[in-house]
Amino acid sequence: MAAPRDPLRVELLPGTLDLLILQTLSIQPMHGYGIAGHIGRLSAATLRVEEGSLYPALQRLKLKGWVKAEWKLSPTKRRARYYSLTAAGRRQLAHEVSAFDQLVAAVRSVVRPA
Amino acid sequence: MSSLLRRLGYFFGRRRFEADLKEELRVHEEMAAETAVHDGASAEEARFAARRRVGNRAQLSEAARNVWRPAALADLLQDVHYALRGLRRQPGYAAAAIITLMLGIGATTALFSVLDAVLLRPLPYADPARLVQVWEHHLPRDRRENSVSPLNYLNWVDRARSFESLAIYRPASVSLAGDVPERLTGCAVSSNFFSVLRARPALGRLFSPGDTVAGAPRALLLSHALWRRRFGGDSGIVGTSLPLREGVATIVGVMPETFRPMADELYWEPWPMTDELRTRRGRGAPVVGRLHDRVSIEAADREMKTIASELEKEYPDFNTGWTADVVSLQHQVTARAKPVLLLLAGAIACVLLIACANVANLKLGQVLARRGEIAVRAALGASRGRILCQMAVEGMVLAVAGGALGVLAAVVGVEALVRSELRQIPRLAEVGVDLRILGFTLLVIGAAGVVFGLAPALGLREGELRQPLGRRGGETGGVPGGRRLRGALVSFQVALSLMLLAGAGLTVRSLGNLLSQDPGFDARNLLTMDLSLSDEAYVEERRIAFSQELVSRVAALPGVAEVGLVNALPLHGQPAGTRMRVLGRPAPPPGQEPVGDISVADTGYFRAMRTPLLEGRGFTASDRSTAPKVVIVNSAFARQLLDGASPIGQRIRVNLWAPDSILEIVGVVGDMRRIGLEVAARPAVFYPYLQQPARFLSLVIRTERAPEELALPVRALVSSLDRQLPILNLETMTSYVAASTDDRRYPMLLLSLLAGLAVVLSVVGLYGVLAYIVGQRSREIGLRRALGATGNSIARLVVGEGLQFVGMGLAIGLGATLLSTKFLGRLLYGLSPNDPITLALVAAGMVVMAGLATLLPARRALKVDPAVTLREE
Repeated sequence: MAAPRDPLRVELLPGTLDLLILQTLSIQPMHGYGIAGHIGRLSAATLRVEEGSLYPALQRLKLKGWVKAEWKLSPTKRRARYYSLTAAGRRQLAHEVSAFDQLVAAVRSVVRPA
Repeated sequence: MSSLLRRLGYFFGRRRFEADLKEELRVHEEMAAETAVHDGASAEEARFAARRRVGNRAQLSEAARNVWRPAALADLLQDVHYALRGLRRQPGYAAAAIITLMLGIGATTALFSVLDAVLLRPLPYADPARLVQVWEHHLPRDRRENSVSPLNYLNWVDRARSFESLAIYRPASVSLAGDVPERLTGCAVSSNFFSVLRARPALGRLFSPGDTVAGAPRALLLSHALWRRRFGGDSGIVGTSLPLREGVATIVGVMPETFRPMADELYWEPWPMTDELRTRRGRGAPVVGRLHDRVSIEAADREMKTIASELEKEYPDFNTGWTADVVSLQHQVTARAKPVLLLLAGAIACVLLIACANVANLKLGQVLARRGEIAVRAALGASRGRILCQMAVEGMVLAVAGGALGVLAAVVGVEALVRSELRQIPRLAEVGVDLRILGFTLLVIGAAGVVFGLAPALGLREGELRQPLGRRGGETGGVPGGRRLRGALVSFQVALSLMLLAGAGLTVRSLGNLLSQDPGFDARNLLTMDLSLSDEAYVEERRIAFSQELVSRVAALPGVAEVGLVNALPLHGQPAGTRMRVLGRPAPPPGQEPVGDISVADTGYFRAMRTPLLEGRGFTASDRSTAPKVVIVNSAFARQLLDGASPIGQRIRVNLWAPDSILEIVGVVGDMRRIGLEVAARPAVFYPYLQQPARFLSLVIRTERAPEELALPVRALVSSLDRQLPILNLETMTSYVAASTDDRRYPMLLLSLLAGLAVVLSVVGLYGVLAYIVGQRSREIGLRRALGATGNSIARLVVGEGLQFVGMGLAIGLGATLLSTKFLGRLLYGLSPNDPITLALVAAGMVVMAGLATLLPARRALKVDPAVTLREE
């Protein structure tokens, strides 16, 4: 049985996944499942993060030195791998947010000229 | 920079990384399942849904892993993986390619290690570039590289300023006494010999001035090989005395393993420069020297020529016509072997090229057959560069596999070669596969891999990548470009093979010419043995008595027809030579006196050799020391010194051995070739043994059956006469004849082997291409048959196609052959480098082999069933 297609689901713009992860982690350290859930909830399930992209993205951020990972006990007493922002990650987040704002403003001004 | 460090961290902590990732995904699934249960799903459903969400874990891990690996490396690993899988799927193709490469790369590596050790590496002495050899050079006869007269050498030492020092040496031998008698060949050397070569002993000391003082005990330095073989490598041997048949000697030291300037000397003894040397007679000892800093070889050569012309004026009797040459020692050691080694290197390079062409051909066929797969990959988004890269990787995987096996084969082969101790290759003991050579081989492998990985792929143009997707590739007539390329490769192989075959054919026929040369004696059924009666105990009378006893006892053995004695066998070392002249004829100007061989023979020698007595008489028992001095000469003597007049009764004077005696010629014998089968005899004078009882003798035994059968009886007989007399070189004359052609025989065998390999490889290549073409054109052939073409015309089609490639190859090959056979140089004898008969024969042979290669594909073409073709349409 094929899963019904969700009409509201939107493809992520390339490069935005990193931004979303960094933003999520700026609130508090979180494990992978938590990150996916957080992004889903905040976007009211419009944005769905695939596990297949999430974990490679986390590794990419780790390689760039923007996040670090450590095994910690969750509130439900489960050992999980928590990711948190590094100082470089914070700088990168600020940079990406402003770049994103510019992009959105630029796209908007093309799509809906004032 | 820091990301590079983190990458390295990943690389060394891969295991940790994998475990973390696996655990992380498991936790993720668990959490997802819990959430689902919380939302009301059954535990079973929840787990299933969670697993589906995470999806293919392997793929996910791979993606996560690839973040850490550089993209190119990841692609490369993937390509290697594909290539290995592809090769496993086609074991036949893989084996053919890898074996071909193994042969090519193995042969190249082995030969390069020989070239490197023999020609390229400096000699194993300190500062070898300043070592030179100094020769005398007789200008009227242009006789170069003549050994030096010891007295001239002493004059050189006094006058020459170019050299730090000049040393002189000559062959020498001693006989070990004891239960296992053995004659040792070695070198007698001037006291500065070792300091010229800057050699140090491995044990003990070098010679000191005290060793040459009259009455001092005889001092010996042992070679490493003799020390190991005869004395078990016992370091306590230094300083002990060694009983010799010539008297007792003291072992003063052992030289290191690498020190073997003559390649096979077993020991060294001091050569005192006594008054005996201070007569100007004979030139028999080579001279080696070390140049001063900043003195060039040319300057030294000029100085030596000046000194030689001074000596020519001071001693016109002895030195007229003689000058001196200075040659670099490196050049001296390798000069003879160099052209042959370079020739063989060229031949092996040809075989490697043919092998690469074959693999390229195989690969091209494979690429064309895989156009379907390639088109699918191109359609799925692989760039042309990516596909070419994969081809190159496949080529590289083949090259590396073949290369690794080839290196292994080379190591084994080189070891066997070194053990063979072939005398034709100087410095053979230094040959080995080392890191430098492996570096060279890596280059060859890399080049080979890229060439046949990419060459065939380049035939695939951009359009062709996708084109076969529409109509299934391969069925409709093939790719003309591919056929042309493969045809060209085959023509190229045929051309190279023809060249090698011509070289092999010419050397085979040269050797045949040489062996059919009449040496002036009958080598069949001749057993020979060397005797050294150099013992103190063998004073002259005992020597004569012993040898006569030996001759009569051997003659009495069953199966022996004739026995003779001579001091120098033909084709076994160089006979002594000197100036000689006939009395009563006008004396030639100084420096122009004829030079001939002098030797000693007994009454039975010429009969045993079956060398005809042309005039006069042979020696008899009455030619004893008290009788008038007589000699026998050869017909070259009669021709060159007497202008053909009868020599019988003529009286001559010879400069060596009995310089003051007048010798009367009593007989003339036929010419014998003594230095080599290709060297015409020069004038020769034979002294009767009883008047000139030499210490070193060869026994010549003409047998009535296989000479080998008499070896044991003769050995037993000698031992019964003198238990301690070393028995040397118990050999048949035919083995000396064969050995005298060794420096042609080995290159000939190797060239033939390479040519055979080349022909087989190119015939296989031709077969492969034709089989491919027949496969490609089976539809066309079927249609032709259906339209009434006869079997003959179909066969003609296929064979014609093949012969077209072969014809092209032959034309190119003949051209290349005509240009290249001159490099055979000294290997040729009795025919021109472009001998038309040989060239015609090898070309015909090539056509026959090629014809055979076309037969199988032609048969396949005949079997194409027109009905099947029509049904498929």
